[in-house]
Amino acid sequence: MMPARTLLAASLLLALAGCGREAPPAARLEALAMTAAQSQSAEAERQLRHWAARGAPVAQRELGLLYASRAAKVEEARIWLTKAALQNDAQAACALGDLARATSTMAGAWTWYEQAALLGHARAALMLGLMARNGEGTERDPTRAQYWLTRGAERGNAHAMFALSNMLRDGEAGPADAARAHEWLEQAAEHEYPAALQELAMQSSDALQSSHLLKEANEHRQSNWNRF
Amino acid sequence: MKYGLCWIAAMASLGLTACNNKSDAPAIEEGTTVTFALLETTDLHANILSYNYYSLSADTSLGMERTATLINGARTENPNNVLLDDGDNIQGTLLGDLQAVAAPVTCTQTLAMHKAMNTLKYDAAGLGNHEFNYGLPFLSQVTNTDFGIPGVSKPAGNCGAPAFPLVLSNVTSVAAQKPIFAPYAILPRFFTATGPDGSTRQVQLNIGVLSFVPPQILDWDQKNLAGKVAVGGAKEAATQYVPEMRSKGANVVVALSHGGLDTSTYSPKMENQSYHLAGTGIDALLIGHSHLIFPKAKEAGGPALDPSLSAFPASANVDAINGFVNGVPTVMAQSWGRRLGIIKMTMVYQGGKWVTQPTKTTVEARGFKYSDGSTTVAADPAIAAGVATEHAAAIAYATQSLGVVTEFEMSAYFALVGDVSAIELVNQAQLDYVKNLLATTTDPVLATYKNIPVLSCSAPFKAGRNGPSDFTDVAPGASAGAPVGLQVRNPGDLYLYSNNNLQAVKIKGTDLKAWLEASAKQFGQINPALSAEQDLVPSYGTIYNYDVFYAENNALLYQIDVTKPAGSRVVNLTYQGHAVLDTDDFIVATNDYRAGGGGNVPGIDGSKTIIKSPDANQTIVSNYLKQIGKGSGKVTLAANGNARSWSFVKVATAGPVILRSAPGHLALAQASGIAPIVGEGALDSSGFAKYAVDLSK
Repeated sequence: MMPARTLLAASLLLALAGCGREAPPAARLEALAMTAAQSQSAEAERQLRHWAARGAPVAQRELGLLYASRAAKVEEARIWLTKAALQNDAQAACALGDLARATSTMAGAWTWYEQAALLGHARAALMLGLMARNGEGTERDPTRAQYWLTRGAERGNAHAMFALSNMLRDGEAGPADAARAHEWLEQAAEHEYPAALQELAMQSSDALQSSHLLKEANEHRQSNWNRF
Repeated sequence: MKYGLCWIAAMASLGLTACNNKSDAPAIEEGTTVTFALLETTDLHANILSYNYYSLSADTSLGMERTATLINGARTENPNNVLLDDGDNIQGTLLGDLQAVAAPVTCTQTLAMHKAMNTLKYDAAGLGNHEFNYGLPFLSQVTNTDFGIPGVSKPAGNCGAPAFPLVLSNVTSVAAQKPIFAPYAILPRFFTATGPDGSTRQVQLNIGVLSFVPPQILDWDQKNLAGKVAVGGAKEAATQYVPEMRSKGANVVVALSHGGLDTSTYSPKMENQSYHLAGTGIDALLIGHSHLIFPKAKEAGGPALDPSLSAFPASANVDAINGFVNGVPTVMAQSWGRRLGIIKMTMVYQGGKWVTQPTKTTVEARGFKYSDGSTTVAADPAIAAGVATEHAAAIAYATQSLGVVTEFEMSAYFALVGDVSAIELVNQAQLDYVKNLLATTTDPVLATYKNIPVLSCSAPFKAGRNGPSDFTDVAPGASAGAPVGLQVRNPGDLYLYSNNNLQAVKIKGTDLKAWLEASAKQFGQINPALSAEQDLVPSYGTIYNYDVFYAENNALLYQIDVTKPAGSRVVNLTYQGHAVLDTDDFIVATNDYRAGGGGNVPGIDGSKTIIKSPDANQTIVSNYLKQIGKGSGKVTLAANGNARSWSFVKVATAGPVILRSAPGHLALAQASGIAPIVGEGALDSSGFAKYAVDLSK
């Protein structure tokens, strides 16, 4: 959210800075991208392009994400995301994984997600876990699935936490581990994964805790409809 | 000491805000100290009374009527005080939804939550993400604020609203390029201070307040907000406004940050930005959103610190015991009014400004049982009195007529032997919804699915899990001759969980078979040669995982062979008379619990979801029934209750097979033509009747 005056002042600074200077910090570039997307700001988009063209990976990634949501710009999005991913931007690699996974063959999805996951991206680790678990876009491999779901869970992805808790409870990749399954179920519920809130509520023998979990789930029902 | 005329006038008429000009304020002696309490409520979520509108029963562990008692007590303990709210207060209970959606308050009315907050004389409030759930026009009206957004107009005149300032620092109107609320407020307060000589005197302290919401509101309320508002980072907004507030005389800057603590690298895109506000020049941090207790509860026997709050690296400098984040006193008061945050700050006047004394500053997230760890505070009667009408309206709303009658009793007593009277309507409603969605979709991917067969599945949610009286039974005794009117609550009995959103998955025949097998695990394996009694359903513990599938006109049929081990029981699976192939495509209407991995059905783990709806399954059932009400006006067994999609593979057993269920319903089984039920036996030790099951029928 940058009012026009601030944007012009910033653009002057950035234009001056563009002469052989370093790119602005990541947060600044991300704020530009937010303005470009939220306010349809051509000026913010122009500045983002300026830094993307100068090789700043965060700018390339943000420009790619911006364009990925525009039907006419998907191919250009792919180009910018690829440039960013080649500079080890995890979010870009994950976004490329998403694009690949949407195709009928899912060709390349595993590779992109793996790059992102190795860079610490939680949702990419989730996607690897689900793909390996279901044999989609890769060989079915419960051990690999549990490995990646664990990485995703450790990095805070609530969906990964829940899927992992199910794998552990049913011993899908080794002996069942009810205690760890329950820990991850609690974490998934804490992070508001809807199925986890309900599962924990139904497993709980504490009537008040159970009713509070469902109350929580109900409260967030509408705004979490597309969150996971 | 110097006393200006202005100050004398202020003392003469209590509470005047005339003295907000620095040059008029009396000089404050170096070394003067002042102690005051910043009180926080957060995430109240429309919980005004200690009441649960879904169970229609009291819940004394939550509710503002008890928070009010904590507030009254804290104010008595701390005569210098400021009461603030950190957002997410207008949405969350049936009462909130009633006042915003079902029967929206008019401009001349004030939301019940705001009435209660006005009774409690809040000093200021920030916003949370849920304030945007009901859309911008509603928010504009109930806060009596013009947002500067084209197409969003507040009714003329003054609408009922909070009597205190609302602030929001990081949300702007895209069109007007300025904040939709005041980005900050500076509240002049007159506090009793202590001079260096120990004597008391009055000082004016200007309390500056800003507030921040997560940028994700643009995702979570995309339909309401896209293109209309822009959300920037909290750190950027604080950097912009804190110096401005200081230059306007703010002595204390309080951030109301509707976000939790996330110590990872700052990004304006991150959801929980509160941690990163600690370095922006603020004096106190009031946070929320993640519904946690920070710092650790202090009462005897209080809950342990949440694991996520004890997992920060030491370098993050988060003191979760005493309530400091990078040296800034910080509090999060859980949710639903269960806690009151109290930052008791001591400041000393040094070098011409007020400086916090951290060693004399304490932080507490005070709960209802703070006095001794077991006694819950009493409710403040003033709160209930103020919202009595609204409370009664919410209860009436939950029990109002749907405009449709039923000619049959819808129960789950015999759901596990094929009865679908409590399930078919849910499936019909879900199926109808998904079919309509696919028929009218503009989504290019969904449009390619228009010819894929649509199924629906649903489980008997209340079927003995909590004992013999825990069975769905809507309209007992209903018949064609004696139809029974259905209430809004009844969809809640048919569809138990109000938290579920409808979702649909796209699967193959193999997945369908695995799913049916997963459901069929609920049965015990019956040995036809055994003469001893065998229990058809040994446990009702996970009966909510017994999905019953249905296709329009009962086109999907299957049988369950309970003599086989779990995993190999489902046979004769046909769709429209043809055997289901492994490669067949199906779309299945279900809910977010199942589609997201609940029950761990193989392959159904969030990876196959093609439709995510913001509509609740319970509402979809309710709307379907209302629609029937407008049509024939009734639901009947023939149209809505006896399309039995599954049956047991017939087998004669040497010994008795029983189904445990609520006693006294044999006549219902017989009248409904549930052939396998041939008698009702004695009660078991838990009070279930043991119905005799003849699997050869």
